[in-house]
Amino acid sequence: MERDSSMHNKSNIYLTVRNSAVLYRRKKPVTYKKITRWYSMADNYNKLLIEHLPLVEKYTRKILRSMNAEYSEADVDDIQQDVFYKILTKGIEQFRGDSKFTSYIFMITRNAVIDYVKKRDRVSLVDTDDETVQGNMSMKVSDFTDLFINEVEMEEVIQLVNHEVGSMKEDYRLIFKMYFVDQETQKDIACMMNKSQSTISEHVENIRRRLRQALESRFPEMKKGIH
Amino acid sequence: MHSERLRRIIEAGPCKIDMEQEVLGVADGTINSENTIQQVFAHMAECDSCRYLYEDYFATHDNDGNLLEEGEREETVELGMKLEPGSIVPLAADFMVEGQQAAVLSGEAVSMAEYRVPAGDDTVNVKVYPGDDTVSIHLSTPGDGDRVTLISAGSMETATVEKGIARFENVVPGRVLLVINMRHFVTVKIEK
Repeated sequence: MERDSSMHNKSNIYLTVRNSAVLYRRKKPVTYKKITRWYSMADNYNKLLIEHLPLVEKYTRKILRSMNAEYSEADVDDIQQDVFYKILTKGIEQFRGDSKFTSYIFMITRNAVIDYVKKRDRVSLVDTDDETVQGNMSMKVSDFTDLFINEVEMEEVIQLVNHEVGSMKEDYRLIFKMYFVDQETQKDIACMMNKSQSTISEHVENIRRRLRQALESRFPEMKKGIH
Repeated sequence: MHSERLRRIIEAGPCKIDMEQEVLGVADGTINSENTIQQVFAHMAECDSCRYLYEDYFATHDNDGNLLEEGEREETVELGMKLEPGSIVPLAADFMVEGQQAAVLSGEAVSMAEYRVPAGDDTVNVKVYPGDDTVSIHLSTPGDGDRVTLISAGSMETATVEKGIARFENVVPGRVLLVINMRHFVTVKIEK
């Protein structure tokens, strides 16, 4: 690689890593320091991955536009965050070499856009005072119950869940957001939080139990249907 | 909230046999084995997810695989019509040849629907002839030897343009995708 282009790439990487750090604020375990360390430890293949990260933003915007999807800057940031995470954690091993590497990045970005749009369109949660669960998040109440809940009740359920989650300890709030809202897998959450998968699984069950109890206590007549 | 197309993409879900990388390999020219290309096109006849992925690649990249600049995107061409025995009722006047637009706007049936659609720098003519249960689609391009692939639910057929025309007979109504030279798309929606 030419020296100039190498320097240019390094500058791109620096910007990418810095931006990644900003984007990853909410997923605390993945930090500027961590990405930098990954880069320094990465073999050539994974360096190739990291060097392609600047493409992600271009692809994200282009794909959203080509799909005529409504989006905001925050949506673009969130999608990039997902793509960075997938690229940096799953690395090269899933690339089979059937296409150009840029096409592979295109595929990952496109899939992330589709997943994001799907998630965003689920029932919106209203704001809470806690920044972990703040903002335009979504969740499916059927993750806790299979009850039929009408629109008026749904509003109350959402407030109840928000209140309950807001009163949980920080780890639980983070897991709630990652598992029930962002729909990360327990394995990925364990990796991000540097905990074992069984610990995460236990925490998820505890969260689910607390939310179920809160719902049962508010809607006792529906208790029979809750599982 | 979403465009109809985005809704269909979401409904299609992911490819069930993980062929996405091969599909992109055909799109970006990495795969050039004729057999594999045919296999991928045959797969796209069955897999909506991969078909949309292939279309999206060309909606965002140029011939050399570079990301298209803003405003360079080729418009998606979608033709809609209803098949009635022995005639066709076009559902929109977009891309119809001048002589037929008036008939379409008045809701009249035609014995053959004719469209002129963009395909890159060229224009191609698409003529749809009605049968009782199926239609014939004739596509005229400027260059003999151009390759046109027709993909519909569960089937795929490739025709080479000879004497200016590629012909597809006995096409079953539904959503039909015509792929010209592997990168320009015309969607024909035929209701019955």
